[in-house]
Amino acid sequence: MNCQEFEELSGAYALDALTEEERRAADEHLAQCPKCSRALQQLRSVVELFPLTVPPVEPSPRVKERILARIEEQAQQQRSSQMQPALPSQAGSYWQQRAGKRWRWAALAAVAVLLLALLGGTFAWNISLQQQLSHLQQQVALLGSPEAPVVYPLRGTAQASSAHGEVMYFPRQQVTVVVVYGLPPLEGSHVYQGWLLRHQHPTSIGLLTVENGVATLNFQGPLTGYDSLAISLENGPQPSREVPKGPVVALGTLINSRANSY
Amino acid sequence: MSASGKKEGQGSGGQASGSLPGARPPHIPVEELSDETLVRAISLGVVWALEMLYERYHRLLYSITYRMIKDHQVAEDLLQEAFLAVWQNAGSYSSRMGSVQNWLISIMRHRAIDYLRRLRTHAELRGMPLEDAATSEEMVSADAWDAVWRSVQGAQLRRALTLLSSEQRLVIELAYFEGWTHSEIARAYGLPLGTVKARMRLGLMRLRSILERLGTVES
Repeated sequence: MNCQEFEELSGAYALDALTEEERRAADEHLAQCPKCSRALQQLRSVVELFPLTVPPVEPSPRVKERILARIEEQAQQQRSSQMQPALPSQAGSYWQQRAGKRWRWAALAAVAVLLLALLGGTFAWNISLQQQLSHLQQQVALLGSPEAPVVYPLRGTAQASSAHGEVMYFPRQQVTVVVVYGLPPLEGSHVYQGWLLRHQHPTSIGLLTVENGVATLNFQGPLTGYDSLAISLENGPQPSREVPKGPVVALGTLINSRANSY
Repeated sequence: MSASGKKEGQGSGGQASGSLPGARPPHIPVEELSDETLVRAISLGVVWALEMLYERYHRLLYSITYRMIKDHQVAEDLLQEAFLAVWQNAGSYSSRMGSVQNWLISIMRHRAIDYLRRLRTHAELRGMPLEDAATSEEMVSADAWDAVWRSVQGAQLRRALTLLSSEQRLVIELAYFEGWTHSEIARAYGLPLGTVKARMRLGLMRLRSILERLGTVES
């Protein structure tokens, strides 16, 4: 396929109106033609607005329940195929946990209802009750979940003031995920490296992967006992050993790992 | 209509400087996590992240699907399939593929298109008369559309669509919302394939030019 042939069917490509065979041929051409890729992007940016023209319709709440039930079903199958007994902290199924949450919510709601009933029921109280129940429901749903993440913000230092991101620890998976946006583009063999700091002593947690301006890093293990997490700019391509050699470009403070869980 | 997704860069505010060790970090509400972060969490098997992504986008995705399928039961099944696919394939998402919203819409639309194409046979390819497209309330009545379109961009695009020729609007409508290929449209309307291709391309270019003038898309 040449540029002229692609141009002719570019509208159909943007609208997903090609056959599989035509799409494959077009993809091969696009992979080696930045000019046609740019032209296609112009048409795509219009097509991407089409969903905004659709009247909003709400699906049945059962859809979400069915999705979550299927996920739980798959997780159970996976667990039984691995023949591993559930850890005590994971022993309750997702639905049992949800049921637990509902009971706790119901208990809190009952307390709220009783308190308000004692104070006398008026229309204004009803509104207040709704707000309190909604708040309690949100709190119980998030605080009660064993999956609730512990999230800390990362901020750019003077070397990269537009940088910002998040450090998230997932207790169930025992995985920490670092996501940083707005770091300056890397030059040459330079790399971004992550560090955990305990009393100013750094421990490397590896190099960040940078893709489309988003830098990410995953590592196994909790953050307990560490004071902060830093991202440094290193000469690379290998990670620096023992201590950062380059400037720290982003920093996040880690307090008690449970203090900021949701 | 707009989804309430969080793009990267949107999130809690705060001081952009190195925090002092020992200071309590600012609180980041889970609701403010970016879409990209949620997808990464889903790829690690975090169920609440999928629930949150569902809350942000289910209405938008369902509305598109229902618009295409016109059957609540089937549209709900496809919505379920799409989110299960997200659960299983979140690890394959990369920001290189575009925004999470567009990635989700693409997953959803491809399922709807597959369903429609399976359903259709060549014998069933009966085209909507051109005069219907030109007078369809959905396509023309600005008041009716304004009543349901919630976003300024949507309203502007709708206005732009009414400025297209009915022939261009018809092929775009059939392709995007009905999942027809260009050759199916050519067969159903007895048009040369080149004509259908040209109407799609020129129609989209015209829309872009109108939207640029309105400031809806950047030139």
